[in-house]
Amino acid sequence: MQDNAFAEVSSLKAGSQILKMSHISKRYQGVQALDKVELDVRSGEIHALLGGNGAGKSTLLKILSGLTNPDEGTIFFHGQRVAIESPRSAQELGISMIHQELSIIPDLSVLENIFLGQERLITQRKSWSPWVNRREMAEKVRSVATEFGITEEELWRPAGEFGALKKRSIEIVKALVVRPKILILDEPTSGLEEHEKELLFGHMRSLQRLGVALIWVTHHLDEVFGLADTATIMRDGKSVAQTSIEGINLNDLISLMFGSQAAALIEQPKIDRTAGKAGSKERFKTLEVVGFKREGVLKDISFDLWDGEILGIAGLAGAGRTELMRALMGIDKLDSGSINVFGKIGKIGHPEKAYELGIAMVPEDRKVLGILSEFSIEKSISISKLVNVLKKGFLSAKKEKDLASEFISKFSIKTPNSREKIRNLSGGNQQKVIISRCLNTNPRILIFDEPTQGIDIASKVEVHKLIRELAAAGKSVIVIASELNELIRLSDRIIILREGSIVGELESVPERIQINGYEVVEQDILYKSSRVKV
Amino acid sequence: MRNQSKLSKIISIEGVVILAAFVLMVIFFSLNADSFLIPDSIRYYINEAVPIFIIIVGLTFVIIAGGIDLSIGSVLGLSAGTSLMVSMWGWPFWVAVIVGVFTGLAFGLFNAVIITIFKVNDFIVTLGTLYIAAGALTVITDKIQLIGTKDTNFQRISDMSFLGLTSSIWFALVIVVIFELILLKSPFGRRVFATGIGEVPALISGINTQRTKFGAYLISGGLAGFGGVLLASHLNSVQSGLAGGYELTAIAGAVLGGVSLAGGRGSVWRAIVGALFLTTLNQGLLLMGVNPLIFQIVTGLCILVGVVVDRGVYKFALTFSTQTREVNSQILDRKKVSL
Repeated sequence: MQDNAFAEVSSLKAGSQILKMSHISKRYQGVQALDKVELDVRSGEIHALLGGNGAGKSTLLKILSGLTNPDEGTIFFHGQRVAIESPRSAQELGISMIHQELSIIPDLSVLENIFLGQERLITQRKSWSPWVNRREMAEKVRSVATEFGITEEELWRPAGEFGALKKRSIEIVKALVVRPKILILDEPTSGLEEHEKELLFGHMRSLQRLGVALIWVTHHLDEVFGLADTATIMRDGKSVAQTSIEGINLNDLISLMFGSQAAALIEQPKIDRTAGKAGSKERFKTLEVVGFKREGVLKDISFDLWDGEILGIAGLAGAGRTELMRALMGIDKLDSGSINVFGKIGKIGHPEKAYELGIAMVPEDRKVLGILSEFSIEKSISISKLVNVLKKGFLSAKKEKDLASEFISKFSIKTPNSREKIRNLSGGNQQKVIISRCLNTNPRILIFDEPTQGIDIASKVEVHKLIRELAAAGKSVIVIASELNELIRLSDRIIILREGSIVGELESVPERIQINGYEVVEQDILYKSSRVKV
Repeated sequence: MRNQSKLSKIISIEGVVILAAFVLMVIFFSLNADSFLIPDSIRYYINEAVPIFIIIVGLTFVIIAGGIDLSIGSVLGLSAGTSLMVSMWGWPFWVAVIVGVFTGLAFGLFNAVIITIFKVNDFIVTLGTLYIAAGALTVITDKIQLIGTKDTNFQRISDMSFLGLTSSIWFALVIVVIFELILLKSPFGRRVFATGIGEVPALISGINTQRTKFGAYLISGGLAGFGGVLLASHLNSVQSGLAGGYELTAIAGAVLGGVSLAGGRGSVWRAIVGALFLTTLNQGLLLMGVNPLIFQIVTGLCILVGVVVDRGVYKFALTFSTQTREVNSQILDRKKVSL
């Protein structure tokens, strides 16, 4: 990976260097989250921080805002070496962050929200006084608030009354009362309508004029052009490049972010799947999804699934990929829509029914949604179909042990014994246990939502191999992966979602890669799934 | 280091600590209170505590499934009232038993429906039914004096003697064994654990978590009903306010026995040991001639000390086990939540 030397392109706009993060490294549980990352920010610039999911952006920002400490590396602020040990020290330096999720408390007034947690700091009252003077607070903030579209009287109204844009503005004003020198914006346009975005971009320019340096994280690459001055691109925990926006086009950005060479990482010997494919005339439909609708999330989605295929679902965050799978599993209720599984038509009202029909899911966010942390490996594997381990109506310890041992050796799950609690395993091994749990139900359709999230590269390759083997054995597989590279390399066919609708479909993906090359396929999907106009 | 890790292995077996504490307490009392070890005295206080033992079984299911049932005490009281009332009206004993059990089941069903179908917070719902059941008993006892049924069969339900133990104690034993088997060895029991460990991951793995909780509340209500029947049969008299506060003793016993209030951890026998600990403590203090006015203070202190010591021991056990520090802190975090 050394071919992607850190490249500083073109001269940067005026403004002195305010922040320099140098050689920042951080490991989490054996995974290198950041590897000698560099970040240079100048005052008064809008600095876009770009990269796919898992590229390390959020870890870098956590370090910058004092939520975690780096293992290695140095941070210079105005040329002086500093240590950011806590959120407090970040704030003292003048670094503020606005998170993607709004942190507005609806029952408090706008003014109270703005000063939440820093009443004394701002009003400089005697420290023993338990009271805060709201008039004084309003006085201080009025002019800034007006600049960002909050009128004097709105300051006194409950924040819950306002929409997403005004809440964003409240957060901006809140961040400004501490007079930050650097303001971090994490996906600030999420939840905003198109015209509101324009207003927000206006606000960002005002901030720039105030001399505040903005570090801006976004997945919407089209927004970057015409607004950002500079971009730092991250990939796999490394800073791949820093470049001025003027000197670069979208395609270059995309290939810097996702890296065509990185594909080699997941490249592995193809499993012979001709068995399932040769008689393509004999293919049969395992699942038919008809008109899935859910207010504000899914808009009339229909698709088919065939035996022995891997269907990838592509789309940006918020496109409705996970929501579609949750609806298919019966976790969320639909407004309308039905399915046809092997000729059985109907609705899935509950995951229990999905499993009965032969659909199983490996969910995203393993720690929260996947594992039953207190269960041993044995219990974790048997839970979805306890009938398999019953003996005369009671759970048989021996049968559970045998079942677990079978999967432990089959998938080489690394554990001292089958009674080890699942929470003590590494991420990759936990994932294998969850896959075993699904396979114990003998499903015909398997859904993998972010199957390699947070697991190391070696396990990643194993999980990919497993998914291919399942398809080769005739199972239908649906895969969701934010890492586009992973999705493309894995899928036979890809459906692209945007804002709850299917906006494109790519048949025979492996052939396309051979004929047109990987980059063409990737960019095709990216164009369709982002708002970029072709 | 070897010995330490061996020791840590033993005390990390769940339930060992409370059992050891119980044994130490028994030794202490037998040395300091003369009549403590007399079989009749033991039989007597155990017999008195049978209703607690029975409701703690159902409560264990509810707590492990991640819920709470505050209504069991007053439901037990009301069931005692209804069954005694029916017996006093001259109905045969088995009708009285059915009426008592169904009173409990009806409340269990009510709790289950409101909690799992209407998704109202379990604490609030069962607090509501606690008042409703207690109020219903007050209304009944206001109209009818529930003193003495003439049906000796009804009285014999609890007070027959068999192999030196009362039938009450035998019922409690059988219930403990059956429900422990259900909890640990049946698919339903396994789902109770899964639901309590995490409702969302359990749901995603295909478990009908609402139905599981429904079953747990039903068991809790039904057992409270049966406990009421035994109590009515034993006392042959029911007044307003009977068994009020039993739910708190049961919760305290369960927690002492290591049933995690966060759900997903515990077992029936451990909850029983916890309850046994509390009732034995009471009995021992009584026999030592301690002023009964301070019993509650001592009981409260024991609950707190017990739980804190249990946590400390757990931490110790983890420190010397082979697991990583990271895992330790996670477990301790969970422990904190569960207290």
